[in-house]
Amino acid sequence: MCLCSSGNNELGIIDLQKAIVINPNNADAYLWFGNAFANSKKFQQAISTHQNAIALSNDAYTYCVLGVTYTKITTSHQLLLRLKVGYKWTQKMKWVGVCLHWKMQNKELLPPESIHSDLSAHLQEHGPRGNYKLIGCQIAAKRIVGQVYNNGGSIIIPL
Amino acid sequence: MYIFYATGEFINAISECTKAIESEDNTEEVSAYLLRGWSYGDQEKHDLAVSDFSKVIEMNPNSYDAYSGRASSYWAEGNYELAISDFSKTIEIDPENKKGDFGRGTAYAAIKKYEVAMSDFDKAIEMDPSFSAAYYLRGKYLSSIGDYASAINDFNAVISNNPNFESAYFNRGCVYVAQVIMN
Repeated sequence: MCLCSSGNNELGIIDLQKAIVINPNNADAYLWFGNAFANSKKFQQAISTHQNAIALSNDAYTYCVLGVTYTKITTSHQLLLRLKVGYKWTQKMKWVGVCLHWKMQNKELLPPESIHSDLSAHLQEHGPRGNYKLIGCQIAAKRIVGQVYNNGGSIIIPL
Repeated sequence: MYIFYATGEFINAISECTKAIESEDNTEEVSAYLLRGWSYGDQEKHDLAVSDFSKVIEMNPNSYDAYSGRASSYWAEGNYELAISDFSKTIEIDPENKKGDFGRGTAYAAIKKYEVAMSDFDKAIEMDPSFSAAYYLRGKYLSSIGDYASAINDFNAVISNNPNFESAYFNRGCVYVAQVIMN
């Protein structure tokens, strides 16, 4: 599975590079190029690539992904600051608000389905790009929720 | 009027078609309405285009071109149900023409009736196995439902026919990356 997954990621990188060469203004291609780097745990390159996407589109969802990626490179000590920054960037995105709100308040663990439902409602506004955004958000939600589950729901970040 | 239309001079084409329609000699009336409808469509004056195509349909109820033109204008206006109805008529008139199935598929997809849209894309591809636009849209739908392997096959077909089609690379790249993450 690992070799296969890694191979697919590399193929994705090749295709997304090709898309960017043909159209250097394709912000979505930079976004997914960054996601591919994040898959390979090359978080600094992911951040840099997502920043290129933001420079082209100033898109709220990309800010959200960038915020999530930032949380990957921080120590627990730095996590609060990064989440706060991420939250400011992503305050228009309800689902990130939901995820972070839970993390911050440590109240109730929202099931992924509930987050996905919020995503779907929000993403219906995105038109043809919605499909990939939905997949992307599900991925990000899975990461966030997975992180919470993996820590036994013990992440407590005081405001 | 034909030359103006063929050279993309739509305003002149419309003017010449109008003259032909108003002329007492009605031998070119149907062609003039049709050509003016297409010209209005190219000018994105879809309400006027619909009116002209409807006139042709009144005069010739089996005009493939008129139904096809009107379906496209309905589609452009966002009247997808009417577009589906007219595309269905084109399929009835000329079942071997892939454009009817493809057009109806895009209209079904626009109203999120993806399964029927897929069936139309399948038929269009069956009629023309090198029909890139149908592969592309089918690939996009397959990727949205998580059938990544089939989506990649469709994007492969698009890219092999159009090696510089940016969106196909983009979509295939997204699928590869999503596949890894979702696994």
